[in-house]
Amino acid sequence: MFDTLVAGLIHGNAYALVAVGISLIFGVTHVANFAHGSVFAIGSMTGWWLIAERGWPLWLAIVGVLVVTGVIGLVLNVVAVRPLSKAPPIAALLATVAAALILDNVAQLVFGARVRAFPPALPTNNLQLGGVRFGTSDLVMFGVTIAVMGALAAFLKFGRAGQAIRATAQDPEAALQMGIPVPRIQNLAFVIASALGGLAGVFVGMYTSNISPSSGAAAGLTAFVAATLGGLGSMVGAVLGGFVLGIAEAFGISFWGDGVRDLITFGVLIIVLVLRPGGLLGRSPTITTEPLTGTFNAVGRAIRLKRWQVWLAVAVAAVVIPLLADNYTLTVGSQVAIYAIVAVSMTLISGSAGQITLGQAGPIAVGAYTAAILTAINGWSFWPALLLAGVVSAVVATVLTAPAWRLRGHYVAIATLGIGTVCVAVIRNWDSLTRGAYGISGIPAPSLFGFQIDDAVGLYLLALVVLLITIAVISRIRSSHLGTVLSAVGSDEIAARSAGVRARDYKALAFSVSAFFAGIAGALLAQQYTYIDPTVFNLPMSLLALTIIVLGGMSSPVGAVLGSIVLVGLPELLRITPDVRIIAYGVLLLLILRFRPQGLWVRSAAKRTDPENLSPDGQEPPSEGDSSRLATTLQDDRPVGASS
Amino acid sequence: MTSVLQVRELRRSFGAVTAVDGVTFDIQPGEVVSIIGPNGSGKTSTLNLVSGVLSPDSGSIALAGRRIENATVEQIAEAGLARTFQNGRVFGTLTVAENVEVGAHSTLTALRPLRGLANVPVLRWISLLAELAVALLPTRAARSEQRRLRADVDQQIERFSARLGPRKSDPAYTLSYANRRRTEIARALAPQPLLLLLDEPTAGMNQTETAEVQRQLAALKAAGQTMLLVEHKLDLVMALSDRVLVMDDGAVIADGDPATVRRDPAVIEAYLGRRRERPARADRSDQSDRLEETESRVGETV
Amino acid sequence: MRYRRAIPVVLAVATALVASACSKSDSAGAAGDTITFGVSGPVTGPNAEYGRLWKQGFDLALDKLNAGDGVAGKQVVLKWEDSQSDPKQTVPIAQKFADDDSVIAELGDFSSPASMAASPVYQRAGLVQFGFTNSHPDFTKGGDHMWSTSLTQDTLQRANAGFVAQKAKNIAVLYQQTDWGKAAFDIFSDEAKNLGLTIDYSAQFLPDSTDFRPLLIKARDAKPDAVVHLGYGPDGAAIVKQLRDVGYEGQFYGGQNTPEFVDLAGAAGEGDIITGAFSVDDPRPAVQEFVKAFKAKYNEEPGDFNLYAYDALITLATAVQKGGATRDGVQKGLQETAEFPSVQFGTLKFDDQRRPENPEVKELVLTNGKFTIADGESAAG
Repeated sequence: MFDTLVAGLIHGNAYALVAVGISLIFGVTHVANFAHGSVFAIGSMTGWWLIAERGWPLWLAIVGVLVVTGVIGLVLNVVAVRPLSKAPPIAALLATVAAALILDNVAQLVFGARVRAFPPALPTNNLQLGGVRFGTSDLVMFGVTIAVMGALAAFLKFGRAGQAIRATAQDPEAALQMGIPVPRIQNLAFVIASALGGLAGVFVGMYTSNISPSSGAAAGLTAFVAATLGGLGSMVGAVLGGFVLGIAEAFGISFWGDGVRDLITFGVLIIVLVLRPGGLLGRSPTITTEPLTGTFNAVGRAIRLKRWQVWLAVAVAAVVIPLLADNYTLTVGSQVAIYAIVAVSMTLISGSAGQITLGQAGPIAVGAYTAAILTAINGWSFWPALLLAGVVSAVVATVLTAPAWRLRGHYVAIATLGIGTVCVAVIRNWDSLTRGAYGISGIPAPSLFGFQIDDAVGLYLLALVVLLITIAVISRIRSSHLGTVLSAVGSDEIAARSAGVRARDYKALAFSVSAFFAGIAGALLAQQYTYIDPTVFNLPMSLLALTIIVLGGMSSPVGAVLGSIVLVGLPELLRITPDVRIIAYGVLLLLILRFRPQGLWVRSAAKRTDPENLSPDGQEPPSEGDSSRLATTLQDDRPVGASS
Repeated sequence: MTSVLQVRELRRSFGAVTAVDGVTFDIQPGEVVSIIGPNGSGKTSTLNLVSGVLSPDSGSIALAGRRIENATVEQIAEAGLARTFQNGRVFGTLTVAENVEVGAHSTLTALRPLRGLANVPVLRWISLLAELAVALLPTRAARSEQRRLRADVDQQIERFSARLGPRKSDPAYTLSYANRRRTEIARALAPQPLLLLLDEPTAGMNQTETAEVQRQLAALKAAGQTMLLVEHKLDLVMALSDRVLVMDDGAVIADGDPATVRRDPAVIEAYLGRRRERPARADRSDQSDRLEETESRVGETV
Repeated sequence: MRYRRAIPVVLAVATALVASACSKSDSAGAAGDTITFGVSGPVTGPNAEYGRLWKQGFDLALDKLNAGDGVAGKQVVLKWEDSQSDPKQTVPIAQKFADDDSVIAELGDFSSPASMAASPVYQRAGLVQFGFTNSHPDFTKGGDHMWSTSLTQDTLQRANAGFVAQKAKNIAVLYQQTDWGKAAFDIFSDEAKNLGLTIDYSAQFLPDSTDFRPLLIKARDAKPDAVVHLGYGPDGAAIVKQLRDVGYEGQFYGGQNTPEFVDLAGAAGEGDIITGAFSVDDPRPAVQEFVKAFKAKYNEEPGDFNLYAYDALITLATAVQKGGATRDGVQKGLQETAEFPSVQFGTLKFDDQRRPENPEVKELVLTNGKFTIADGESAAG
């Protein structure tokens, strides 16, 4: 028992050190930095290279790592994050995802893909507590964590730049007006946080010994959970969250095995968010002023297609493409259509109702497994299994997410991320039903009127038909009174509730509908692959689904289809440059976010303004500022009574 | 005849600050009552307590005889209360017409079948799914309700026909500030509420616009609409109100017709006296309030 | 602002055009004097290291095959496609190879889920899918065109349990929670029961875990004679290191015969025992010739994955020589060739599951940073 506690503390310390940087960046810029894990991994690799390959002493190597990762942080902010400061935070979040892709793959090119042993620059197992050996390195890491936490907290509270950072965090516009150099402050925050990420890379590298360029994603995600647990923006909270998570994982793994790690990590997260929506040390109002959702659609309107254009597009997709395209293109086409089904239905919850969901792989997995179990193991025919896949997925997802809809902003996104992960973890551990990690193979091809649909054309047309039905259903909902109500919830929840709209119920309904179609898409995926296992339904799948609708314009079904064509098609197109394919993908993603943050299929705003905005007798400074002020008003969810 | 609104001994504190401290008042049908008072005196908090955005620590609120102090915002809206917000909150992505349509949500029946179940845990999913089903395959009744709804919406927009009429199909984010406030009022009126709460309906408007809104509200009053108004512009308050409540430090310090209240020395001392020391414009001072508030919050989380 | 509105349309059209252009140009590459095999494998992403090891093995085999007259008078070339071992990408790649007439057989993919998602496409196209690292028992059940030289767990783990039983009575087992690890454990524990081994503690771990101490503390407290790890290189290295950190001093079985594992485990790995088919010290001439050529080309010692790739390509080339340089020819060659030359197995025969028949495996001990054959012991699977 005692040994397990010691192990948990040491591991928790590693989480804490990474989490501090994530919390700092969030505190200053309100950006959930998904690239932090990559910076951490580059810190590890640079440290390894300097010490093991170049023979630098530890202290000098640490200086080197601080410089390298600090510069990366600066570049990250200048290139990826800051240009999007006027765009909604979700754009910045996705920009960090793109940056993470680029950083990971560049690191892989530079350092090679293989796992390396971090040199034990400090003794790593010279001390003993109970039955667990640990090293001077762990003690130094602990000291560094506490020092960093204390120094940052004190700096933010008392230092001049720290106070400026806090003011910037709360209200960049006001801070700017008060003469605070906001861009420089944000740069500083990124430099400090990233340098800390690099430092964490060195110490965690010494602790785990195995390091690789691709180790950042997992570390970043867990640390993000730790930071959220503690309350995003709080330094002490990040450290506390790290230790809580480390200890909870150690005991959970000790009792139930390593397979439950995700269940514990995200289970703890969800329980904490339900009990304390702002995290352990955060207070919920701290985050309610922070906008994540809604604004995306406020800056533009989806381009509408004329009826003949719709029919032309359908004709091209259903007749011309199958006739002209080769099987490879058709196979890519099926994938595009399947992801488009997920994305089109997501426009209802993330576009209309304004709730960013980061866990759509969960319902996709539930649908895929439902269909696979029914057809491959129980011998059902495809069509009833397809329908049931949607229903089961909708029910499971709805029940699991029920507590999430009272959360706000980033916390909704993180909670859904957790729920998606939990779904997959349950599937992996429920061997008797799902065959666990073995996966299910031999999923039979669907048949219609005695014909097997198993070739590229057939699978493409099947996915296309389901996609068209999805688009029809979602468009119909959007144009109904229900759709109007959902958009109202997404625009301004408080105002909608004051009009008698039960916002939480409608969010749940919108999510159920999107989970239903995600389940259907999962079933189609299972039929196409004929083999599925839990590793298929990972975080990149959820991120891809979200990125598709963001590129498409968030609330436009047509845009979602277009986004799917671009994002699922791009990695295939980029096969012309195999070595840097994923880097090129990341760069293109960044460029699209940078130059069309409102989405591809959306006309930008400010083109049609109310002439009254320009009326000479208006006291209000008209136009431009006007619409941005609306955005802030819409986002301002702080309890209304607090300022009277 | 029962009062439209009956508030008794209402209390609510935030931490150490008592924002609303034993407020009691009534509003009779057709009456227009205003609450005035210096910033931070508890006016908006009172409004938020009545509309359910905040829940009271103690005291009672009854809307047309029905107790609502523990009801949710949605239930209160369904019971017949509609409101506007201090800064004006419209649904930016929706058109003007759609904004107004959402206002009528609480009155719909055919488009929201089985809505009686909406307050029941778990079973409320039956009503949600029924609503989804009607959205996909509208029943005859639903279609006719949809038509009626459209007509109602047009009628509300008609109120501001000169301003909103031409922009009926424009998304609300393209509107001028004044037009957003008009849209908000139209939305609040759509369900034909028993009681309309207006939180500074002319904040940030110029004189011409204020005068126009004042005419609209006068017309509403003439039509018998009961209203509770929070407003800084005393001219407007004095012209519209049947009765004025003056609040200071969370308590009602005067209650009477406009002329009487205006002469009350306690009011002059508490309200006008202090007002001179404070920044004149409401929205400016709000901003500084907010900064103070955020400052303290960061301190707690760092 | 009309051009702005046009951007999405232009992008969409461009996407479609480039997509069709790409797919057409590829199939035009068929030439008469080359033999083309497709490779679907991880060049980028978390498994990229394995892709790199493959490439070393393939390139060495190409040097050998293309020296002189080549294979049946033709030069062998490989078409690489990066799949990141992601089933979302292996399926289109499979279709691409299927549509490309010049491709007569395919090698890969790395992980079983990625391979098995693509199997139906290869099967339909009559294209051999040579999944030389796919140990999933169901992989070759995907159709008669799915072949694998990867040892099934049945062979490997029964032998493994046999080696363990020679030295231990009570053991603790840690295995990966993947299709691979679970299959390994099921067979291992079954054979352990036959041999009278007692498994006092067993636990699963996730391949991307970094901290195994909570499990290892429990394993240690079960006081086993030996700890057995069923998994890959990096996790094996972390486990053996941390096992020593929690104070366990007994015998360790596990890890992988890759330079990566040997590097990562460092001193903690000394004395580790694994079951494998390949050691650089194997005196057989075929092995020594391979090791020498590999060292000459890359200046490092070859590991298992280099060899798997090397042997796989040689096997396919041998099949072509027998059956002819067509898709059917490869399949026919694989079916009809009685014995293939193989560095790993000496000679290779396929059984009716299209897997190596009665492969010989050896007990390898990590001494001085090298896996060497344990004193003359070997066991048939």
